[in-house]
Amino acid sequence: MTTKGAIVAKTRPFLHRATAALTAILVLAVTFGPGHPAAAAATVDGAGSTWSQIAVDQWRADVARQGITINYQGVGSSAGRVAYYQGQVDFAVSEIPFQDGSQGGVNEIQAAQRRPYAYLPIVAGGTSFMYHLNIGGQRFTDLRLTPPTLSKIFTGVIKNWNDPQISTENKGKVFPSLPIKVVIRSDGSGTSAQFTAYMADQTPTIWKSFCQKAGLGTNCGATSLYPNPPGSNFAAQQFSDGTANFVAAPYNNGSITYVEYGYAKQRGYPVASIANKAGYYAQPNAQAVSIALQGARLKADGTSSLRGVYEFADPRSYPVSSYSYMIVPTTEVAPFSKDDGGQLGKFILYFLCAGQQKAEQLGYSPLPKNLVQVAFDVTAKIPGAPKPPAINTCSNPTITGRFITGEAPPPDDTDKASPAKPNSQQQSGGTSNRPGGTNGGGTTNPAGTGAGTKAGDGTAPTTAPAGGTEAAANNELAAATDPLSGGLSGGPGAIAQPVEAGGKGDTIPMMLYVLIALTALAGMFGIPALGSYLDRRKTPAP
Amino acid sequence: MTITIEPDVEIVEERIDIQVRRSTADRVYRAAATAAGATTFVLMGLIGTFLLVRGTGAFRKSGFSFFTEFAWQPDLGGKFGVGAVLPYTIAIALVALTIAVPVSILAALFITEYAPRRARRILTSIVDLLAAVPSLIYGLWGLFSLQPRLVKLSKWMADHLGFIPIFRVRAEGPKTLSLFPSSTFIAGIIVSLMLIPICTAVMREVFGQAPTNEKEGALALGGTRWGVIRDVILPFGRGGIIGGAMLSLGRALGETIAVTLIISPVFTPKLDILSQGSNSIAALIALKFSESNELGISALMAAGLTLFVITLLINSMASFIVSKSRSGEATEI
Repeated sequence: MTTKGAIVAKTRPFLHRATAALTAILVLAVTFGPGHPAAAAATVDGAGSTWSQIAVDQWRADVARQGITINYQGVGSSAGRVAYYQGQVDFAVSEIPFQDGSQGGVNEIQAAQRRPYAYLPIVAGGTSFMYHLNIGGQRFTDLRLTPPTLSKIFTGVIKNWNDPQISTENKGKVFPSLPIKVVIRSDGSGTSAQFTAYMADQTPTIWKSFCQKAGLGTNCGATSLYPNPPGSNFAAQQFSDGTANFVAAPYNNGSITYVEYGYAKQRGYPVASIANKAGYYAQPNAQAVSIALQGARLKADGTSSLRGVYEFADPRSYPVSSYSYMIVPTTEVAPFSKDDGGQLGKFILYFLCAGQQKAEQLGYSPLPKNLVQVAFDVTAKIPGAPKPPAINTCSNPTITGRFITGEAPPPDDTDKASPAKPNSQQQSGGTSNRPGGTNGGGTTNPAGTGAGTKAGDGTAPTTAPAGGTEAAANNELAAATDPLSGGLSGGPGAIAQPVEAGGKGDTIPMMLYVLIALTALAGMFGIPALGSYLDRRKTPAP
Repeated sequence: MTITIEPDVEIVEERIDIQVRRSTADRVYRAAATAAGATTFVLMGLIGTFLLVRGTGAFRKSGFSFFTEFAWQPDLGGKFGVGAVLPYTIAIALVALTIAVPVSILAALFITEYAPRRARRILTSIVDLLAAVPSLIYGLWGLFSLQPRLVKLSKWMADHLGFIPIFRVRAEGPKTLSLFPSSTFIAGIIVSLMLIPICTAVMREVFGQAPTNEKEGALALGGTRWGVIRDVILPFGRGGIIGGAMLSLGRALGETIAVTLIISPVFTPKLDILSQGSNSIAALIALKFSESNELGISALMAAGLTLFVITLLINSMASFIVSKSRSGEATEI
């Protein structure tokens, strides 16, 4: 034992440290206690949909260069809405509005009354059906489905790709016997809600019997939580990235899922053409989506009723199209403040106008002018947000005339859903290679006749100033879009590229692993060896 | 071999009445140590109470059926329970242990007995390093790099070992690779990779404490190296093996992010471990927490409490076993 004095002397600083540590703990406890820590002035936090996350992330990155920091977590629409009314985020993004609890569950509208809000449309897009189907070593890219077949696949009624109904709708093509692996979302999802709303509306009998099997009662409509009743054996993955990655995984041949078109595009995987009311099969490209959404009916709260979209009569329309909404606060209830509103407002004005130019390239469809106006009106209600500009100065491509809804050519006759014509065409891949198909050769044609001449719907004055500044960007856009859509709509030849890219993507990480492992090993063995070598040099052996 | 202590060698304590007069320093250290020691109890009590309080609502609504019900639909007004999730949680942990424990025993034996001195130091630090890798990393690596390879192993096992019930996978038509991802088996393997470093570290520590004189004695009596391991190290380290395994089991039951990434959650029980679909309480909480409302969160807390109690029991059992088997107690030479 040392002397008492020494111990006491040592104790003093210890005491100080102890009090300091205790204070630190207390401070931490206070900061992380219940309630939201005061949001920093410069950052705005949001959470929600993964359906529109590709676009939101792109826009965030764009405004970040101007010093506007928007944090966004793609946690699913359901979690986003909960985070909004619990005050964990400044804004949320969701495909569906707050639910009233009539479908079971919590009355979100009531819960959200604490924080007054408004819906602001951010982008349009198609819920697509991304699939992974190799037939004889070749990726099949030309799948066509009518709504009943689609519903039967996603409710487990049709379980194998060789089902005669699928064959009939694909010009009598013979599919191999391969189980259909349906991949659903395991989290509460706006994509699930959009798709189940479509099925419940368009194929009610199939949907109802599935619901009953899942024990959800007879009055079962759209649901954010996709049912997975016993015996259906669906695979469930978290978030859009999760389902899309899962379908794209090399071992999941025969799988199909529902994701926003952008996710399939990113991965170079095909999506099914879905038959619309006019009886034509359509791909969820920007034109087909925006054409279909002409059938949407704007509701008083700023969201849209989609019934008319599912049944829109234009033969070029993609029926499972919808909008995504941002839920923005209209008061300064915590954690929102005027400072946040300023940042959020700038972000909103960016993506409503210039940001929409990237929509098509990313696999979405730009918002039409009337919804930009709706969104402007909502922006004006956000505390601290800048005043929206005159609508005709907005560089949204639907306003500048770069993107004209309905500019797409009429669909090819081969894309018409017809009664069974078995053995008429063995070579089914060839027909859709034609540029005039529903794959929308015309949609990415910015320099053609459209932009200059057809822009006369009240936007003529704006085209001239916008044209100069945006021309470069748009050319870039068009250049980037063409190979992508070509890769998706083309025949086996064009598809070979994404396949190769996938293989390449697999080898690069492998190389990385090896490199990291080698470095680690070198560090592990090299440094001690060097150390002992130096030691030996310093102290010569006795 | 027993050492008999002669009575006359015994040290007789001088019976002086010692007045305990603690200095300030003593008191401070004592208080600090007591407080730190108490913290663990307080922490455990607080977490347990919190889970119990928050979970009561769900327990009250479901009653005992919480432990037997398969479905999980609290927020839709449906039934909920851990009847399916809990067995899956345990199955994943058991798969992980089946792989991790034997590997760890061998690795620890190699490090303590066979490895040359320098390699021993390096291996020890590598094992410690692996234990520090975040489980998210294991999860991502498992998801993108291991799973594509493991599905092939799963298929092979289903094809050739299908006569064992837990490896029997039924398929309509030929078995495809797409039947096998996101399974209990694959999740278990990925979890086992995280357990190996921890398990090895615990075992190495215990094996390293095997009494040198007994090892040398065994060698002197003509024992082989394997003989030493079998008759000295393993009996001596039995407590360490069991303790390491139990600690790993506790961690395997609670592993969250890696399991969430791998599994495709299901709520219907099944016997085989190879086919797609599994679940775990921790993954369920991670998946559902952010989108759940009152009852949903309460139900998740109740599930968390179930896991907490099970983990607590396992860990206290482990520490009991470890404390029971002290050095040399079980040595047979």
